[in-house]
Amino acid sequence: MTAWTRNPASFRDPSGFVFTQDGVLYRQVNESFAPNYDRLKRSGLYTELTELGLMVEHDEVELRPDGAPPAHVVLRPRPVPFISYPYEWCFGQLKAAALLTLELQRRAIARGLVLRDASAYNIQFLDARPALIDTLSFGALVEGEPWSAYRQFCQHFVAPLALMAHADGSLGQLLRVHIDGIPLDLAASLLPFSTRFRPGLLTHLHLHARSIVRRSKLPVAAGAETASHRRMSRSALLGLADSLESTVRGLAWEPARSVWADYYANTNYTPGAERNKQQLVSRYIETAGARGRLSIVWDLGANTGAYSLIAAAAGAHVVSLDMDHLAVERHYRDCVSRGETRILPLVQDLTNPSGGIGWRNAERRSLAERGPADLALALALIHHLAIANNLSLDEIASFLRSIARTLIIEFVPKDDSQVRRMLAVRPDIFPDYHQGAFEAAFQREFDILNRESIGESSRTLYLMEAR
Amino acid sequence: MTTHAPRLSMMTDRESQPSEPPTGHSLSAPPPAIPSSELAILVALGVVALTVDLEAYIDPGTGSYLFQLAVAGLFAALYTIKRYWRVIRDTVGPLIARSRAGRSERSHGGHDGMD
Repeated sequence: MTAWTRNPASFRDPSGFVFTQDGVLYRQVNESFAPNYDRLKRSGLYTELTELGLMVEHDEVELRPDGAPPAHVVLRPRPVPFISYPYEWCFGQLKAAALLTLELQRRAIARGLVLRDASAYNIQFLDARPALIDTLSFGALVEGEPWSAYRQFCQHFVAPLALMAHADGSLGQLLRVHIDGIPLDLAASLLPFSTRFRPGLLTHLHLHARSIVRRSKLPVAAGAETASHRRMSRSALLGLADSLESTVRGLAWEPARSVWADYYANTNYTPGAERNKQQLVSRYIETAGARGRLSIVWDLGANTGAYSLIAAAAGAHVVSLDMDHLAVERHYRDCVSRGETRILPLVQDLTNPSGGIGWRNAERRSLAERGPADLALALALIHHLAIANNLSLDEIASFLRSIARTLIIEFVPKDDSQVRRMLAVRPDIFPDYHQGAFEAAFQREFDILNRESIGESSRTLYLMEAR
Repeated sequence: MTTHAPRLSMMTDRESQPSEPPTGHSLSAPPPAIPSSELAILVALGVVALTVDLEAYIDPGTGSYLFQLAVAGLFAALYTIKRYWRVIRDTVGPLIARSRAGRSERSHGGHDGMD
């Protein structure tokens, strides 16, 4: 019997668990959850959702993990190319995931089921569209019962979206600290007073938060009569979902200009240099693809994704990482409007990448744990790491080796106008930042396969392969 | 009622009232009587908790749970109004549009080419 490993994030729900065996991901549905799983299939909800692309499809397999609780069925879901987390999504991505969750709830209620949870972590982006990955999220609708996931939905979606829309676009990062969503009283205290005049936010955030705080201070039995005498009709459940949807749809973020999103507009590249760089990158990607399978490409410091497009055109799934949530938002909107399905833009600061968080720091994986990528693009990046962040070239080479098998990297010399601008107001404490030292540092981790100057610029592009 | 509010969990009760004088009950002694009104609430809460536990594994939160019940009527009413409004709009809207189109057709004496 081959050994299987339980997914460290799969411990909350007693209905089943996720595990890997021989590198393949499976989900066991425990015997105790059989009635709900069968209801999902029998009701036609599973077929409806998978056909619409709202939920990942799966195959039922014969495999049974040794020593696990009795299984009703074991599923092999369609693999997700790259697992991303809500604190890495831009506003538009989180909003799309919220609207999907409400659509799932509405469609489930119509078929006599209900979402048992509304965790943003149950949503992943597949072909650039959000989809539910947790097959066990549906249970039978019990007439009269409130929605057990209401608070979770508000914490995972309404609070961060409202904060991003009405306080600051970067506040989605609070989801990194609060793994089960932003506490509603915290969100309410951070939001401007004017949000109390918006009926949706007043209800689902401000009054909801007050109710939670007030009840937590009362004895447990207080409110028992309310609970025993009132019921939540099906119309009320649908009304709740409808009201949440109006609230989420009413949240918009029209970002102001940021330094990074204007980076390409203000670049020192001439049109000729840019064209030369694009041709070189394209050729290097082709060479890398000929040497090994390019299934996943990470574009580091992707900005609005000009070079991600080249990798996507070569057939790879591209994860475009940038620290600027505004650039990521623009990139995401651009992908949606062009129907681009192979690119996943994400907010990621490489000088402080996502770490392992949650129980035992293993529930949500670090960026490095989700690698290595088949290929990483590090274009116009090295000077930001070495000079703006004081990292040694050895350290950068070692980091890039840990996250990628192949590397396309651009060396930006000190006489480049961008570097000169960086050093204009600070002493040059970087005597080792030159092309010779760069090559020496990287050759300790990689073999240099190609090295070419980018015409009409002082920069050089390298194709490297891990040693 | 408020001064003797029963708790769902004995552990919570003990932890929250550490200064309570010992009752003197031994393990074999009969448990203290619970007033029937409180017993009814306990049963009601038990039923609520039980139905929730069958399907839900996450904690819905007492405040959140009761808040939904408190505003359930409002959500239901708004949803019903919205639904009927949509039906009216979808039924009456095309009729109005058709009659307008008919009027403009007569006034222009044209033909839209639709059979």
